[in-house]
Amino acid sequence: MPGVSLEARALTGPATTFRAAADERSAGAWRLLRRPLLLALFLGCAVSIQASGRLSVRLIVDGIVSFAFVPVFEVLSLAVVYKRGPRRVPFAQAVDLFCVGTTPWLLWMLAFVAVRSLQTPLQATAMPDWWALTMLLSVIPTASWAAYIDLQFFRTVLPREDGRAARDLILQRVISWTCILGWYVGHELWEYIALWIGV
Amino acid sequence: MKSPRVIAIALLIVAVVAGTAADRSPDRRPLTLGGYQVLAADFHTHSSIWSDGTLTPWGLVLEADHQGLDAIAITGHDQTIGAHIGHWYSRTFGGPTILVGDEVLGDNGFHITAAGITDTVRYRRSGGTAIDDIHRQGGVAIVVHPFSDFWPGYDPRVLRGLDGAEICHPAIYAIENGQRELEQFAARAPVAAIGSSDFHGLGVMGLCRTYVFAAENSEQAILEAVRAHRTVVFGAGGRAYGDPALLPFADRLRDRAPASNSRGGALDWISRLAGVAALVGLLAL
Repeated sequence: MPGVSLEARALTGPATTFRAAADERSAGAWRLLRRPLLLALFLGCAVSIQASGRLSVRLIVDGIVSFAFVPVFEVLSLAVVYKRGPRRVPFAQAVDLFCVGTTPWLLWMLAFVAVRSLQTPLQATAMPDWWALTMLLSVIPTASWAAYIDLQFFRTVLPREDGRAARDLILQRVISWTCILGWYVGHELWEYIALWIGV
Repeated sequence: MKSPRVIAIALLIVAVVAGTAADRSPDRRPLTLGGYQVLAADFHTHSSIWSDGTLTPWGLVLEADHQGLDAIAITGHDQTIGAHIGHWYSRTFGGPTILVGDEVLGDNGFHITAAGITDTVRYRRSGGTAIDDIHRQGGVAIVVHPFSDFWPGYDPRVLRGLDGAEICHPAIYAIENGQRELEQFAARAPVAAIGSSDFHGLGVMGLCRTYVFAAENSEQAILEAVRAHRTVVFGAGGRAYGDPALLPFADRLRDRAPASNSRGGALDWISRLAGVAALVGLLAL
């Protein structure tokens, strides 16, 4: 489909999209960085709109710095899985295509950013419980969709056979989610766990 | 580069230029009432350094300035790293007064913020012990979001030691009877009325704020004013709370309160609409 991005095509047909994209060999620093940077840009824009209702250089840059750990941990976790088995594309291309799997998360962020852009400061700050619950529950289909796309990535791009692809997906998720959540809320989470278990 | 993507990038540039042009600090005229300098403060903010916020500590300092705040406490969850960084940044590069703070988790799940301390308060201990530690460090102890679920955690010793309690928190606008519960808690102890936004990045810093009547804009003067309960806060419906001797000044403060129901001007609308369209374009094209 000319004029439609890889992200858009991967949302509906990830296997076909990844197979075609993996056949076009490419590498280089830009290939390695461009989609992690797109993820960082989305995070920065989301931070800016959520905090102020607008996009400003100051808040976008601050959001990118605050959440730089997300693309970093995503790439590092892929690197671990990438080294563990057969691979037919260079690492830069693997990173580039792997980051396509974040598209459901980018859409998720975009949906909340769009809602925020219509809210008053009071509506944005005083979040009702049902809205917080909506945000929380919407994580489930988003994470499932992203996992499905990434499973197709492991099967077709690296490529790994079915069982191995599923194990690699789980390993990658365990590494990246542990690091991301540990970095962001680990300290606070540990306080509650320690209080709960009484240590 | 494909031309549709060029359009998306152009839209993003328009959005950022418009948003940055609109991103200005308000003109803050110094205000003296009753012989005190009136300072707008937010005593409950979180940074992105291990404290589930979305802005860096220096980002909080800049955001406070853009929201017309004269002082904030950066209150990490049981740590003060972000607060120390913000404090250093403000002292080095200028900006609102930064109080090193800490949101302390108590042994039965209550939350108390410390403001004006030097080190992390020992947590998972009784409220009385935490408050003693805060006072030993020269800080003030403020109960945060004391809705009825948290009440069992506050024993008489805690109530005696407190310096302040939140009477305005964003949740009062979302929880039925939220404002009434905070009023009922405040009636149990002689405390300074505190308004704070519990800012994590979703929403606006300083939407709930405290007007502190201080001798000057300094950390010590702000802490001294809180200890003396010299504060005024606007709660739900615009009702004013605080020191009875200062409440007659409340009307003079209303025009300084943030515009909680304004979606901004033309530049804001251009920024957010072009921004959302650009992000859709970057994903789809």
